[in-house]
Amino acid sequence: MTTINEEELVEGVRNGDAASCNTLVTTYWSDLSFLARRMIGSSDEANDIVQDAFINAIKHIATFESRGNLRAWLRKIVTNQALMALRKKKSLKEESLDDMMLEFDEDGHRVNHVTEQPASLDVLEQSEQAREQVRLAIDKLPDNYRVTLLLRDIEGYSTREVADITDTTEKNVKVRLHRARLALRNQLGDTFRENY
Amino acid sequence: MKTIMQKVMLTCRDMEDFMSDYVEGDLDLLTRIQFTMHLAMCGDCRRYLQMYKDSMALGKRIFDCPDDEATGHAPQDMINAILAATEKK
Repeated sequence: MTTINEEELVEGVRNGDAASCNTLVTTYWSDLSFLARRMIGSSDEANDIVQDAFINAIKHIATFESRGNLRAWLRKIVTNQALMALRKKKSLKEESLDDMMLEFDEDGHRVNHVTEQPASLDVLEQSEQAREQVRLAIDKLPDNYRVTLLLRDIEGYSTREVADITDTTEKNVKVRLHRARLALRNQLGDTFRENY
Repeated sequence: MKTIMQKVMLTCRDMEDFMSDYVEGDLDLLTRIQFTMHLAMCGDCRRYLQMYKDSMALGKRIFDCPDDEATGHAPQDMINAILAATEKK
């Protein structure tokens, strides 16, 4: 991301300067589009969400505190827009993740051994194939699990905040988060098994 | 009937159930000790836990610096629509 003077940019947007608005959009589009796409699970809808988020952000730029973190503020707006879209689709309902869970026998032992060797995170991060597999694994999670995982583990909201945002209990957030993490890990088994 | 050892030791299924709380540091002392004891003896759970943590870390790293994918640049028609909707009269 190009280095920009955030204060000048915000001031320009506040003054209705078209060039500043243009810079705001082009600077943060990719980042916000990536977030929206993960939240909503669809590229076309994600574009609409980001577009609406920018319109809201520019219209309400006066509410942004100058010393705040502009990127975090914009991400919060996108998160709210995405949640509104998911609620409209009523897709935040409970869904099962059972087919992404590992099996245990009646004594609580694993049916299959864990043979993957933990790989270097730095190596995996540099691998486009591994990055794509992580994105796909997150996209495959049912909406309610994916949103919980993104808000808690990626966006850094507290359990209480995620419960408030998603209209559920803290206990439910913990359960969803736990199962989403397990599902993510189980889906990435092959990624860790590969020799990167 | 379960032996005392079986009652004290966690199973691999228990380990999976407690993994999130372990990572978050939310386990009570007794369960944490039982968890650690199981880890010391079970290679499957050690590897599973490591990859559980790695999956979380990898997801976060990828989100912290999204680059590629089809997100790319803002489509010009989107930029125009945003500017038109926010233009001050």
